[in-house]
Amino acid sequence: MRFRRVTISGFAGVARSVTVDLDAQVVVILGSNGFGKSTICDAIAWAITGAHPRGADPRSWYGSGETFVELEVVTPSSEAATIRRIVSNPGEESLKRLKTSVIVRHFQEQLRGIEADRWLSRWLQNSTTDELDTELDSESAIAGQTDSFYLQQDSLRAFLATRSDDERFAALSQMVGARALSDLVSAFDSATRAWTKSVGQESSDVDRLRADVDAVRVDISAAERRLESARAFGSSTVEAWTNRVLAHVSTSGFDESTRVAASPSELVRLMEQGIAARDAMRRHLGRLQKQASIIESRLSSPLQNESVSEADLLELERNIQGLETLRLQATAAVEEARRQLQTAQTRVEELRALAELALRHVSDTCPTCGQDVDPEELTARLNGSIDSATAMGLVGEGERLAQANLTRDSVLTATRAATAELEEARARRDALQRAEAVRTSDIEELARLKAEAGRIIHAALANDPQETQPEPSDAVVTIDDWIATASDLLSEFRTLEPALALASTESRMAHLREEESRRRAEYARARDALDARQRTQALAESLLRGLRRDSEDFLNERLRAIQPILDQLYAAIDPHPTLRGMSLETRNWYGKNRLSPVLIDSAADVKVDDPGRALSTSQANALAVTLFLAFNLGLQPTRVSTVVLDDPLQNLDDVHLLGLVDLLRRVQSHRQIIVTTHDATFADLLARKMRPTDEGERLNLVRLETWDREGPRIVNEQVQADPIPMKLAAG
Amino acid sequence: MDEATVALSREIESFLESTGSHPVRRARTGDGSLQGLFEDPLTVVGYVVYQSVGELLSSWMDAQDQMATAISRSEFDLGAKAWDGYLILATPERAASDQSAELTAIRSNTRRLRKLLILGEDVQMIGDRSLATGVARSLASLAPLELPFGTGIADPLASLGSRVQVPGLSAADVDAVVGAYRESRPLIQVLHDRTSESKG
Repeated sequence: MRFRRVTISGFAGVARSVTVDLDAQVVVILGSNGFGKSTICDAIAWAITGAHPRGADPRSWYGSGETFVELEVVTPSSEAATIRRIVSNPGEESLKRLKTSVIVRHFQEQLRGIEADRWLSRWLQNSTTDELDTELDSESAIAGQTDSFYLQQDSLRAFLATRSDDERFAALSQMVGARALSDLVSAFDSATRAWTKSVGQESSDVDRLRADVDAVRVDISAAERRLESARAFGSSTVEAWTNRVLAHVSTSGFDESTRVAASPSELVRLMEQGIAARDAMRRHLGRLQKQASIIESRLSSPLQNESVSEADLLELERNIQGLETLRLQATAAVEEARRQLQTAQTRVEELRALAELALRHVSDTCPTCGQDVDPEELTARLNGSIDSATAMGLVGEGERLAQANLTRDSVLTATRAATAELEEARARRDALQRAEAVRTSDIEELARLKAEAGRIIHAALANDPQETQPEPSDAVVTIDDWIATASDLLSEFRTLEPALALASTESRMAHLREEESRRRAEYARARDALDARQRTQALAESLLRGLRRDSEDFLNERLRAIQPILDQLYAAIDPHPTLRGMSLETRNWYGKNRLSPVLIDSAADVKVDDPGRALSTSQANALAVTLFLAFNLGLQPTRVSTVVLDDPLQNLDDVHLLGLVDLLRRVQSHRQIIVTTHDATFADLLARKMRPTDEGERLNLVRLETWDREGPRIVNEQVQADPIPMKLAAG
Repeated sequence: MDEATVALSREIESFLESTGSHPVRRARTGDGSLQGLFEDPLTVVGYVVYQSVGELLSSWMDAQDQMATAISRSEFDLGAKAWDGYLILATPERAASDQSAELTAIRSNTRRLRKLLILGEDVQMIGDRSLATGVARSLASLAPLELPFGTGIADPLASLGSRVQVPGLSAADVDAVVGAYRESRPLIQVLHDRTSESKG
């Protein structure tokens, strides 16, 4: 299949419809970087595979117009066909959910969907078998198909320099059609690992079953020993023990039905319960005894306070009342004395004031009667009057007041003494009343304690409540004896256990033997199944090794087939002055098939398996193109007879550039060539050196002159064939 | 001209003729001048065989002048072909290490004509490699491509049973695994069922 024309619309940077004429043996697309050269190549690949070669969104950067690419092709049987691919959900935001639909027109027939895909697969895959309808069903398959005819910038450099050797193996396996084998190896590897893991788990399960059988055997051995021991005892020993127990528990209030129905183990349980109950009763009884003893001790002590009669109390109160009357009278006398004293003091002050006034007016004549007076004598008499008035006027009243105060204080003292006596008498009376109340309460509590002790003793000894109860201390002794006897019987029971367990041990032995038989059978089945699965595991591992060898051999066979063309292409470009040979070598390392490009200096017997380390950028680019052409021409993995080289010129020096052009000139006999370049000189060189040599051949030079938001402006030119190609020889 | 030089000259001419080039001129002079001129629809090729590397280094420019003159003095306008000449500079002698830099410079010199070098180490008999192989390798850029026959994608699973030999497994067992793989059935279980059946 080769290409004739491609029409692009709404694809990446190309918004409007752009058509590129590809109907030539050589198509050189010249344009500055960013003018859409790669977009045209990507559109061709997208039309064929439905996947953008770089995983990008194919839709136009501008607007929401329809995205479609229409590729006109010629099939290997020289039939014209058109492949039209359209984005069927243009509004989808997620690139992962973006869907493309394809329509193929072939003759008058129009194929869609699966039919169209099958048509494409049939014309894409260069299968040598009848299975031509294998669909492009995975991203890696699509990438492999794309890589086989479209050399993207740097993609093979990445193949050489950045991919790991096992990734290179996988990529080349894809290219030579060994993907199904690689996938089978991978799937078989995973399945074998899973199988091995499950066999390991089953092996553990079988070990567990074996351990179960061993555990049952141990149980059986133990049961056998118990049986032997039990048989050594006679049944009479057990009967005697039972009778003694029944006799003992009969003193404990067990009824007849219990006595008849009780089994030895039941009797043991009853005795254990009885011991526990009596032990609790004994402790309770002890506490009651202690409380009763305290109360009795208190009751035996006489009341300490003397009795105070109500008559005494009344006499005391009357006495206090009389004293209170006297106190009131004394207080009134004090008040009267104080009043009289104040009156006397007032009068003295008045006299003193008159005398002092008269003193200020003493003269030779009396102002009242006009008689002559002796002023000195008068003054002396007036001063004396003042002093005597003061002394005489207050003496009587002061003494009376002092006497009244003494009387009142005496009455107060007597009243306080009587009141204290009354209070003390009342306190003695109250204390006596309280002591009598306590004694009454103690007598009642003592009676209650004795009644409760009686109930406990009755319960413990199971005697008639109407009978005279023993003293608690005696009852405690009796209970202790009962507990001691019961404990002895229980100890004795432990020596009888083997004999008592005879029947149950025999039953368990039968069960264990059945269990052993069942588990042995289960173990044998599991062991057989495991053996079979382990045999399968060994076979699977052998087969896996065989598949890996075959995968490597298959690829090596294909590599051997392309070695001559690889040698020729490598020699034509001749990228290194001493490493003048190249091969692709495979090896299996840690269970993985790996592939390395190896450069060889046969004269010095040197091999370099890391070309990225040995070659310059220019040399590595030349090698990348060599490998691409070797894969395409040597393996012919698809029926696309076109090679698309997107700007292979980068970093090539003159010698390698000319070598590349020489090579492409040889390739054009076998493949339609679409090559892009940003370099006008290189484009002219290509046009000149790959020019047609007869009239039936064409070379198209496609110039991308400008680029705007609508896409590139394209000018198509055709280079004409030289009418006389062999001029020198003709001369 | 010694025997090795003559043999090398014959091999170069034989190679050029086998690739479809037509001889325009032959002159086995042995004096370091152009010995042969060939033409095909796209290119003009000349060659000189020197007895030594030293002679090659000292005389190659004369041969280039000769060939460029021959092309330019043609009675025809060679057009694009005038830009497409190749000069083969050959010697059966091996290069010394101190000559390699100069030889590399000649190989990288693309002015006027493209120079293709054949040195003793290229045509020395190594293992089963013959003189013809060495010449063909050195002149690979002038040779048409020979594509391998019968390539294309073969189904690697189609005959897997006959290719993979595993003790205890028959070809049918292996093919059964392949069938299970194609039908997305559990691979090892299929193998197990088959081998268990055969045991049973």
